Amino acid sequence: MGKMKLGRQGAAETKGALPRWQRWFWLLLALGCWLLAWHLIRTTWFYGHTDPSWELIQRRGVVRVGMDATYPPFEVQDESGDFSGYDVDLAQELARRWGVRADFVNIYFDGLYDALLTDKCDLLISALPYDATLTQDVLYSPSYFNAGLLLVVREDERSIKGVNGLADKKVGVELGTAGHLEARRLREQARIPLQIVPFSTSYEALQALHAGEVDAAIVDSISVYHFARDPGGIRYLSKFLTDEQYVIAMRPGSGYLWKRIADELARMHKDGFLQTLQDKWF
Amino acid sequence: MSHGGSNQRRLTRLPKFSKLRKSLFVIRLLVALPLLWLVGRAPQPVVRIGPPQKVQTTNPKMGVHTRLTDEVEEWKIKRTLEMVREMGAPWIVEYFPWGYYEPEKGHYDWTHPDLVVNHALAQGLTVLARIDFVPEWAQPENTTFRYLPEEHFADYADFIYAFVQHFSGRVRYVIIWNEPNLSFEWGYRLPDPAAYARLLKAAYLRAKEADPEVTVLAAGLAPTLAPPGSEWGMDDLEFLQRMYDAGAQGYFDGVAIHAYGWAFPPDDPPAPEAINFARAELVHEVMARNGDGDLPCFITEAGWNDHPRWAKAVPPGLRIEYTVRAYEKAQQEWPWCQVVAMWAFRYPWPARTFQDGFTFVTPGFISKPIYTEVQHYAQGEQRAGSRQ
Repeated sequence: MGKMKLGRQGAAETKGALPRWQRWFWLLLALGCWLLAWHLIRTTWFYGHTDPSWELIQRRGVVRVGMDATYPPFEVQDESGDFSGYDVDLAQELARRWGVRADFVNIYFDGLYDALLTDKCDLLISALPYDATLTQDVLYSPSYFNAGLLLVVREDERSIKGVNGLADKKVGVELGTAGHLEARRLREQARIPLQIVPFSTSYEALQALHAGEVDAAIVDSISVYHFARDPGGIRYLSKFLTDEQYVIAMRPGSGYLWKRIADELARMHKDGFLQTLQDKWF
Repeated sequence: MSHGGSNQRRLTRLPKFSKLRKSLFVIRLLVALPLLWLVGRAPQPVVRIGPPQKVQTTNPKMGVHTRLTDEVEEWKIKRTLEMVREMGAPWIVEYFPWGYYEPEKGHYDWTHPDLVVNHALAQGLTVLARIDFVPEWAQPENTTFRYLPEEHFADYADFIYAFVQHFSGRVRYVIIWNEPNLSFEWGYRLPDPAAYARLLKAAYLRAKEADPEVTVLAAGLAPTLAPPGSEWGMDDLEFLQRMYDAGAQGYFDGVAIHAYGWAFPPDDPPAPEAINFARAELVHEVMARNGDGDLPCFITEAGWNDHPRWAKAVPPGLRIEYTVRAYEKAQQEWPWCQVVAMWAFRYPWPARTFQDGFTFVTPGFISKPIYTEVQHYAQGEQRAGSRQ
């Protein structure tokens, strides 16, 4: 037990114990911290209940989806004004699961983000690549499609099981594209002695592969899926060489809407809906 | 000998010695730190402007739209412009965002634009400067950087004055704003030809104050068939006529034109209901109807796209053919057209969308086949497609 001495007021104070004013100070400070923490939790975790984007969608019964409908098979608008494509089906399914209707707004690509930020639409679903430089301006959903590069071989190819199998092989690429750069990176940085054969288009590169003029090709997934469907005769290694994630964009402060989209995309991955879309459109 | 005594002296000396050691340490640190910083920096290539060059070309109307606004590294700026010269194009259109260079009213930062302009001039290129992009201090809250309220028209005009004055003798062409007939480019407001005419007038007067010899161009309008009253835009031909109706005449020395071909060849005939390269003739006709037939036109955006999946693209071979033919057409058939600048020469980084299908050179400076074929054309050689 500490030695007691009388303080100025005559109150007993324990030597080594904090003076009263300090105790009050720390107590108030702790209370302040708790209040701040509570406020932060309330505004982030429970923000969804006050997410204006979600509430507007629910109130109107419509989710307005902005897209540049000139990019098949993701989105295209025909002469009668009807929209169709992978992104269109995705948007309609999201709307159905939320119990609302999807309306599509056709906006030229350059104006998409401004249209979102000026409330011309609620979401952007437009084969939009994730852009790390815009994450302060918009909120991005998790990815729903990977348009990255795939390593492609003939169906009967057995010796190439990965990039290391490309040593001393001819690899077809589209001139000047990400596939071309990836092939150069493998040659120069990963030191795989492959021979790069450039073509004017990715289709020509895949045709050359099919015809046996090259041993493999490095091409974006969309071109690969199309070619694999028709004319076929090729297969691709399941591991992507690079990622190009397509995402949904929404206004900042749409935390609850983001959560609803993320949850639905996760369900769509699990229940096979996204695979169904891929089979339908590629 | 008394050790205690010498110890005493040592003890007495130690504090002074310690101070000296500390001072020497601090001095060494002060010298070493900058050296460490220098050593730690990645070596930067030494970039020289180099001796003045001249563009060798058979078609002096060839141009490209470069996109060096966000190109940070000087060597890339120089290399891009070298490649433009080597391709045979004497003109470039470059974007100079107002908001980048006047971050606060009256305070200018010309460092980057000086780099671009000086390198362009060294490569023998003529610069057409497109100027827009509202700085934050002139932008109302919750609007975009294309929303210029009328109370800030004078500030924009002041910037035009400062720009023209700073670049006097180096940049002889300025383009006032961009595609104001699109609501997106007008801050997602309804397009307003009369308001644009007022902006143009204000900018023109200030530009001439700074340099009477500068050529002021009215903005290139987006070719569009937007129906009357559309919230997205106004037909470019209608917008131009309404600019004249609002008194814009006399406040520009020429007109910038945007003439994208989409999926149509350059010789596809012009028609008010068609968007094609030859729509530029209709723009010129509007000017002629209003008494400005003698004013020059500058096609500051044009071109075709060869992305494999874009609905308005053409195959790469056709893109090359159409591009070369467009340059030829302007030279042989359009005396009123001073330049055709194709969009876009190169981006600093990949767009990763269909827009990459517009470029001639990749961000990594790989020249695409279109670059090589246009170069052959500029040198008067036969193109690969026409060679036996």
